[in-house]
Amino acid sequence: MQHTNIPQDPSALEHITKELCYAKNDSGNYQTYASTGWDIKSTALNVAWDDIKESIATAQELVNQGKRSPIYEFMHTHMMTIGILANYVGMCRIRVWLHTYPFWFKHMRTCTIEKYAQVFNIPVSNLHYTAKA
Amino acid sequence: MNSEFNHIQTAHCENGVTVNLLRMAGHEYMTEALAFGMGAGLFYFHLPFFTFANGPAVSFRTMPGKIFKRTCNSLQIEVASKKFRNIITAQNYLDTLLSNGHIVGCQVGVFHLPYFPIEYRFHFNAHNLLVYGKQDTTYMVSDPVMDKVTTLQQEELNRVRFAQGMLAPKGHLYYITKSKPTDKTTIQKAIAQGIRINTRDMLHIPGNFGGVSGILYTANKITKWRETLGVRKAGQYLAQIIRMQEEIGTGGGGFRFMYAAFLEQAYNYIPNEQLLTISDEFTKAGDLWRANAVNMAGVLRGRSTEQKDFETIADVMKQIYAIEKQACIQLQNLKLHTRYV
Repeated sequence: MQHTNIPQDPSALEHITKELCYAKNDSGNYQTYASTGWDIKSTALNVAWDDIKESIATAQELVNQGKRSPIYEFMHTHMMTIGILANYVGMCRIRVWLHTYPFWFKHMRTCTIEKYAQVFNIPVSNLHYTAKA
Repeated sequence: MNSEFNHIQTAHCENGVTVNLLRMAGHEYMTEALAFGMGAGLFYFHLPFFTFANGPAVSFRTMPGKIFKRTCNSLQIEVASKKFRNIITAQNYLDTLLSNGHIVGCQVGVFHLPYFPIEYRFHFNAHNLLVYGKQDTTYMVSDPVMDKVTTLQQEELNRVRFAQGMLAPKGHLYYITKSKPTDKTTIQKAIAQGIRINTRDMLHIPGNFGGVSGILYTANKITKWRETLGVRKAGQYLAQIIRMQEEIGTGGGGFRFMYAAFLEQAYNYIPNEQLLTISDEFTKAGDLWRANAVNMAGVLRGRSTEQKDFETIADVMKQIYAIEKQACIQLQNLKLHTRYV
């Protein structure tokens, strides 16, 4: 790649840092150049985010219908899977999976709810409130 | 505290940590490309059956942690590393090291990293940064992919050091314990060793999904994606490949330009004209990877979603396979490691 071909498109990184690219300078040797971004990459990143947003919307709908517990929604907004969430709260996967269902969610002990609230960085009342709604 | 810390921005985090640590230990010649080559960082694999974040598990570099380990190993630098179970123990250990004047590399997860842009915060746990000092409850942090040094609060650092998920860091930290000045022969040896390991990895990994043959494996998969997954899902899979190839850290073209830069710098230590011609081959491969990213973006944007467009992408990948295989074979046939022992 020649250094004249380095893309300088706007991206999310633009105001935070610049990324380094390796390209050939005029004398044909490699040198590092700063780049603000490439729209091809932004497209790919947007595709990934659209996917995540869609999964969050689906989760919200399921929670509103009463088919899943609020934990299910928070799990998706934090882009977690059951496995990652189970690791964070320090419980086994099956237990976390059960807690994503309203029946098991209602029977959770306060100390267990606190663990979830700590991981999602929200007040405990937030999880209680949504449970009643 | 190390007040005279000299922050160097690099394209990739692990190379950056290696370069910064080695430079602080007195290895002034070290550059990112050299560290990448000595650590035999170039690779390709496509793990079958597994998906990662709703996409194919594709990687353009070796396992996280290998580059640092191999580079230090071949330069005969002694390093120590440690993992923890307990957050408090991990924090105390880090504090003791800092008060002893060490600069410490830490493996962290990026999801809770506050200075990272929100768009890039995924559950990715193989990010590396350097901690070089502590004031009260604030750690002074040098993240090689950022252009300036930053700070992290105690709780923030603990949180990212104990991120969970795949490749969980478990508070992993590493630092240089003993380093001696290197002469030209050691550097030549390290470069030859790096090339030897790299060509071995690229050419002789068993199975059809690791090394250069992995590129062929992906190419064959891509031709089937439109039929088996549908256009939308296939687009997501291609987006994953673009991100792995070009996203922050690769220096463009899936590390191929960085490796070409390494071969060019290696020529300064090992005067062998062929290194330069092989470097041009890798530049060609990198250019093709980038051109292919443009082709893939065509699918994502819905401009070209026919089967023939997928075939084009696969064909370019087959070309890349041929070029990289040829370049690796040439590199192997130089047999540098037998000359610089």
